Amino acid sequence: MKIFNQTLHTKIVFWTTSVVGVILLVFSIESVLLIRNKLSEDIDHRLTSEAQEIIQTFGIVDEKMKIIHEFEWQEPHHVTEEDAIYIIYTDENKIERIRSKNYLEKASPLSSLSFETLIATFKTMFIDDKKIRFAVVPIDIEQIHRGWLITGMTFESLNHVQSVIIGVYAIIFPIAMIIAFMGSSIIARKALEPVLNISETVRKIHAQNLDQALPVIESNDEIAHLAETINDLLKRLKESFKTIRQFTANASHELKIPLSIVQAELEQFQKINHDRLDKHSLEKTKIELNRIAKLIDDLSTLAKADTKQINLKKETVWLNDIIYDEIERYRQTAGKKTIQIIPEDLPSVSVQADGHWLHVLTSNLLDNAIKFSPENTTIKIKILLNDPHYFHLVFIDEGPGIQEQEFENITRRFYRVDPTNNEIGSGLGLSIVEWVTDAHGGLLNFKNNFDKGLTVSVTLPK
Amino acid sequence: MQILIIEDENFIGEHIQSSLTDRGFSCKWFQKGKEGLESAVVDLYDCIILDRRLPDMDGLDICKEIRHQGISTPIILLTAMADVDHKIEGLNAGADDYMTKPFSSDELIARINAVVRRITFQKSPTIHISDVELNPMKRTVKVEGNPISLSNREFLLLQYLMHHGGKPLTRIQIFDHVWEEGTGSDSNVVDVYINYVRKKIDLDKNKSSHIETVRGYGYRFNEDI
Repeated sequence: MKIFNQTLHTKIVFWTTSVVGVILLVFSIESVLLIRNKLSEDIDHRLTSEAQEIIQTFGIVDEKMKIIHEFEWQEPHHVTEEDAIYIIYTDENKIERIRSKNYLEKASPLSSLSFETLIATFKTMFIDDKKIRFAVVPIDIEQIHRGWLITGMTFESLNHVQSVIIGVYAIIFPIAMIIAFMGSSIIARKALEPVLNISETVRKIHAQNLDQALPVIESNDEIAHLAETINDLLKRLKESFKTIRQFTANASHELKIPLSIVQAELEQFQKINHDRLDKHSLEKTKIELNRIAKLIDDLSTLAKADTKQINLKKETVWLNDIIYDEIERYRQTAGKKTIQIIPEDLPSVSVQADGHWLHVLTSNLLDNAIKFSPENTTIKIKILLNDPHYFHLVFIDEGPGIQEQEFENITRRFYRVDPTNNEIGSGLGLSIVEWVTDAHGGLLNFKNNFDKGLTVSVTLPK
Repeated sequence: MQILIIEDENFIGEHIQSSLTDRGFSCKWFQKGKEGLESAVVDLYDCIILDRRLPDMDGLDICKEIRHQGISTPIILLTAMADVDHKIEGLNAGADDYMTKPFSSDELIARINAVVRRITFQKSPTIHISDVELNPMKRTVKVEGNPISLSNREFLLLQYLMHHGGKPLTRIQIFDHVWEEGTGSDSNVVDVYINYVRKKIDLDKNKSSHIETVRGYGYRFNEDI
């Protein structure tokens, strides 16, 4: 099983159970060892104190050591199997003199034990396959060394305690594991349930039903936060889908108008006169085709601007060159409506900007001013330099102006103040102007003039 | 003027050729990139009009190859790709100008004229008249040794006037050279730019101007101060 490929649920359960298991295992091994250690110390203590007790019963008669209650040795000593204490008494020459009845093993431990006259020694030995702990205690009566008393004890009691503990652990361990497994499983399922709900809901969402939102989770945890984030994302997606849909609809509408005009002109052309070229029709067709080409350009500019595909290339550009170039380009168009373009206050000044986009900006603003100005009017252009950090590029026309509440709308794509007027522009010019201004870190402002007409000012950093 | 056209599309090629011939240019038109490139290397032209997307070669590669061969004939790239990046790519490959399809033949002719004029002008040596020194290669102007910063149009205007020394030039002549040919008859932009340049190069206001107004005619560069 590859644990890393499993669901989060499985992973949580696996890791929780494993951690609980390892902790329990370490804890039980440690506690068994501790108890064992303690009990072995206990055995040595019991062996010596038993020996001391027996030595108390020895007495001296005629310079010879006598066992006062000798008959006791004939009794089976400490009958119970696990606590059996064997006692062997030897004289000064380490020759066995007496042994308790419960020492049933045939072999004698004497040859392997070490005998010290001042201190008790301990040794663990296997006798007839039985593990026995022996204590060799020297017998001193009236300051004379009289031999040794050897007490022995099997590990039965120790083993018994140990096996009881292990038995207890053997029951507790699987139970704890099962509890850990089930507990973590329940907790994981509870915790992940909202995640499953979220993914189930999100799976059902597609472009057509972006209105659907995730149920709000009344809590402050990470999952509620996730749901909130996804809801936010959905909202934004919905907005941009709506914008795209609207944009596409508007764009195709805008493209269809000039195309249908061209089509109508051509049909008319076919019907009426096969041989003679109608100059007016051709001129109109050309204008409409230009309009389509411009529209496609504008659309692709905005599409790229929206997706941040346009990088401004800032260099030293001369504002007067840009403005006069555009004035020259539009002089004929303006002349047809006897509109005069007057460059007032245009100092020869250079700035750091993208020349191409400043040309586009100027051209769009001039184009608009000419389109909306009535005949026999003027369009004034100024560059104001009195601000130390900004320069202002100002276009003042004598057209109808725009109602103030429309100011925020006119930079919207395809927006027209008069929606019935299809002839004038596509409604993209000011969107592009706004983008160029923004991209240069500037500001676009509109103001109605005191008497008549509109003032558009572009504020750009120097 | 001899013009080389490399364009694979029949209709556009014919259109360019006929409108150029109408204006008195003589043209050679190739539909294959390789043949066009060979002709560009072997024959002498005043200007090359080059389509970017050709069936056998990329126009950019032709452009690079022509420059690689050391031929400095001005090149105008034609393309349907209106991207600024594409334009820069083209200009970096050695093209002098860039036109996007669809285009009007009038604009193409104006651009051919501008490019040819610019190239001839750029190659001319430094002009030094009285205390004004103009370097066409470096695009710098110095008056009494002080560098003067001029806009492109201002520079072209001064260069044109200095190029003709003390000869007077009409407003129309100046306009046709510095701006677009044939549209400047009722424009005062020449006077405006004469003023810009005067303000910048006439350092001593007490002396008479470097650019002299020839009443009822136009302007001339004053050699005598």
